[in-house]
Amino acid sequence: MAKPMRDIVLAKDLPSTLLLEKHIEFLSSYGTDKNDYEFCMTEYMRMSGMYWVMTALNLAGCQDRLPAEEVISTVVKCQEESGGFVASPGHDAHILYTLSAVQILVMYDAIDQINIESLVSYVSGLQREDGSFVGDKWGEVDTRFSFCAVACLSLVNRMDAINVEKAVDFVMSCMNFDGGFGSCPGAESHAGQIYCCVGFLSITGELHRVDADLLGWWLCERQLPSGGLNGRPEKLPDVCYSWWVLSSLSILGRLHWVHKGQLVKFILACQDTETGGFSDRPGDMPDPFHTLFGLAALSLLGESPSIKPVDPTFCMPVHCLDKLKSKPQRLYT
Amino acid sequence: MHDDIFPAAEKILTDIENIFKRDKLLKDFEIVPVTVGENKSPVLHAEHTLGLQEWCVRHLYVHVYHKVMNLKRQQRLRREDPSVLSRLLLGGVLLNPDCTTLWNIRREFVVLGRFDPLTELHINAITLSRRPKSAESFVYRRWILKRMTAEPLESATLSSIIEEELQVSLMAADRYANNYHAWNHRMWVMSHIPQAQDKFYDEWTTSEIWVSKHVSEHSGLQYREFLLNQVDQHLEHTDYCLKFQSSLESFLSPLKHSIFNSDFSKHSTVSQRLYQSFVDLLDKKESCSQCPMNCKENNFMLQIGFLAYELLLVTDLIHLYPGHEALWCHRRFVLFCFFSLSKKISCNSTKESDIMDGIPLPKTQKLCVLEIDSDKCFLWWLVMQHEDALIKDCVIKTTEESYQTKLALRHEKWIKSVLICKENLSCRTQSVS
Amino acid sequence: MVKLYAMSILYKNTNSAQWLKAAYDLQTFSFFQRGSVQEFMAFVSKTIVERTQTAARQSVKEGEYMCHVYVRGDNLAGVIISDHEYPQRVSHTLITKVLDEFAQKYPPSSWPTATEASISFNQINTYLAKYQNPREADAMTKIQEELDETKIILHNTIEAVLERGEKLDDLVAKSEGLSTQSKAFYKTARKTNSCCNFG
Repeated sequence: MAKPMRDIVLAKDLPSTLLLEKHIEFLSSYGTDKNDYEFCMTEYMRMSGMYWVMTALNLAGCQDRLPAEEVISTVVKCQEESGGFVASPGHDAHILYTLSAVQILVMYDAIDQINIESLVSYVSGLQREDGSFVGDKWGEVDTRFSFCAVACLSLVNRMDAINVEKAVDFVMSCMNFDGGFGSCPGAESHAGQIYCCVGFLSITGELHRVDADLLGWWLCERQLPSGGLNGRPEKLPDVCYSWWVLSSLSILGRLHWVHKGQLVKFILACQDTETGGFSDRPGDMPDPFHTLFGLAALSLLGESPSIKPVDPTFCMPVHCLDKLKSKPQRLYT
Repeated sequence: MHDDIFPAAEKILTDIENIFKRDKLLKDFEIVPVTVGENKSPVLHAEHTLGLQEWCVRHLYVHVYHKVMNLKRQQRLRREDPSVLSRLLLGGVLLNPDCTTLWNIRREFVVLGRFDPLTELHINAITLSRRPKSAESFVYRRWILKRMTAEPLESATLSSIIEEELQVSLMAADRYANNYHAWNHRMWVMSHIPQAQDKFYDEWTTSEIWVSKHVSEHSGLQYREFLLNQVDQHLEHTDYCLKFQSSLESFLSPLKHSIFNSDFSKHSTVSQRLYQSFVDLLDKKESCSQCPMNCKENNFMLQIGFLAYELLLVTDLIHLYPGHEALWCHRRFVLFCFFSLSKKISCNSTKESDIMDGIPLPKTQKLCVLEIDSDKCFLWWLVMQHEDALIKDCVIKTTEESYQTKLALRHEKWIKSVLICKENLSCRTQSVS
Repeated sequence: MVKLYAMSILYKNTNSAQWLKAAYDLQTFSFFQRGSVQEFMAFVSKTIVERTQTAARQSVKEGEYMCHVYVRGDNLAGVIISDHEYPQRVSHTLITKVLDEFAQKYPPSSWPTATEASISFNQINTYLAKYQNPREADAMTKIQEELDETKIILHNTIEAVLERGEKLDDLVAKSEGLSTQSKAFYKTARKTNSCCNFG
């Protein structure tokens, strides 16, 4: 008797083809039938919710399912005087929602409708002496925020506004012996944080500071017999890690290090055949978060011609990034 | 306005708040799956646990959320009756601790001096009892702690803060497996709160017990990596000197025969000196004060002792609990540390005095490729003997297709192709455009 | 966590299984859940014994839990519920040992009519406490050596143990041993918990 691994077994009757029409339905009606309780529970991160829905629809080639003018004006209204964005009116500005807002506006080619100068000053104001970034005025530091900051600035072509060298040094101080990165110096390697740090280094053009083989090794060990990827040792597979792990490998030029066919099978199995949308694992409730990362991963895997190419650094459709002055760096093997 | 859609709300909030006021030892909050309301209060209290029946949760949260957000949007929070507001905010963070905005309002009131930091820590701990992986709860906690410790505090006060934080992080780690935030919090406490470093050896001991009971949890093992990375700052402890001398002996004795029968004459001088120290240790069973290495003055040997201790612990756990990836990952870290020390030993440019004065354990740095093999460094030779034995043992003991065998073979491959790869598989770096 | 939650001894009749003795260690569950958890563990133990053939061993993985069952040739059955870190080999060895001791104290003829109340077998509590540390298993080396692990059938879910057409949800719904609160608890536990952040 073999000891079972921390993994799941895919049942035979799970979906194995892409149900794109259903996902488009799911995404474009998301939130319309939401009850008051669910709205109240999640309003504090509504801007990110919008980013997940818009990006997923855009990758599916259906961004016109939602009224562009309405989306843009909703986002624009969320910029505060400080330059930062709130998730929804009445909530507080945070770098997480600022990036989501900038991403949405870039996708709609509407970034000039906001005050870019104050945005830049908000983001650069979050950098600390040691190069790290805080998420908001209350001062928590996290490598996620370093990524958000450089992603925002890069999307508005204003990387000059921060001390990039120090920012890079801080992120590098979060690298571990296994090649991975954690949320702060000394913190455990975590696929989500790795995506942020690798993405950060690709934006700042410092990918040579990663030990790509060492990190690639760790990343592809995240693949389990079910085909799915987890984010840390002995955690269950989850569709969103298909994205965090895969995009990192893609930036590092090592996408072929995972077993593509099995991963595709796992991701497709996480579709909800009734409502549309992807969940973290087969049989769970679907949501826009996992739907975006499921579609984005399938795009990277190049398995579905109906999904547009996605940029592994920004998690946005490649065609939306034409105006970027400096493209994110990639490694090639 | 949604104010009056759930008339029982204010009464329920008052009941909850009264329990907090009455029971200073309250430690748990949970939602009790009673889905149909009866004609009595849904608030339960027993054994320092606050229970709330599930049927009222949705209505209650919607009530709280609309009230608070309406006040906030109209900028009337500060003018609201403090007792009403404090009940609302308590219900809010209990039911949705991930909502940053609710914690931010609490922050404002702490800054104004209207909320007491110690009470905040208690409420926050209760939110973590139900949602042990709430990142926002931990972020708030650190914010409070930073404020409290920004001013000089009495030693006893600091000690009790540290005790409490270690307790809260342990509670959260116990309740949610591989709890990233709980272990990060613990590391933060150990690195940022004054005096916490005094706890180093206690932490070393208690974390061993914890990881031995949670063998699939890499986060706990990673905490020991955090501690191992600071060993060089804590080498003055005599009790541990003895303990590590004995772990060095356990590390060496199974290899005694090979040690005495191998030829190390081609090694660097440092490596040979190390070999001699180990041979002396094996020959003489003397007390610490007379030990040939004189551990107290010899940090380097103590560091090897620490690593040997950890390697033997992992070996033991791997045998007792086959098939756990987390244990093998942790073993890689220990090997990495040994490897870094060995590089220094085998490297001819290193002066002997540098080694013997004590080199800090390798900080987690970029692995640089360096020529090293067991022919050149006695320490690495020893470590590789242990690895060979473990891998063979796992492969023999378990069936071919078992997970343990896979992990053992993967480990072997990792050592050869990742840790000591001689070729740098360098890659071209270029821009997409 | 390396943890044993429950240990039970049952007698397997032709159509159903009856309780002879059980012990629980549920301190790690929150206070208001303990009652439901215990009811549920009892329900699962009985269900699995009823679906295990005579003279067979099975191990069933369900979420964070492992359920090990052994029905002897004489239909005396033992079940251990542990977490997924507790070594399975030790669980099965322990079942064998406990059943052996039980059979020595109570002859087979007494099993069909015995009830939990009529049986005093406190050793089961002692074992549950003692073997929380699986190192204690060294004392059972002989049984361990005799255990043929290749014969233990491993299932990845409880559903896999059920008979064709049976659904766990239905069994829970019609079970008389589960209170309304426990049934509600089961539903809550099955609800999904999706992340909108890394975690």
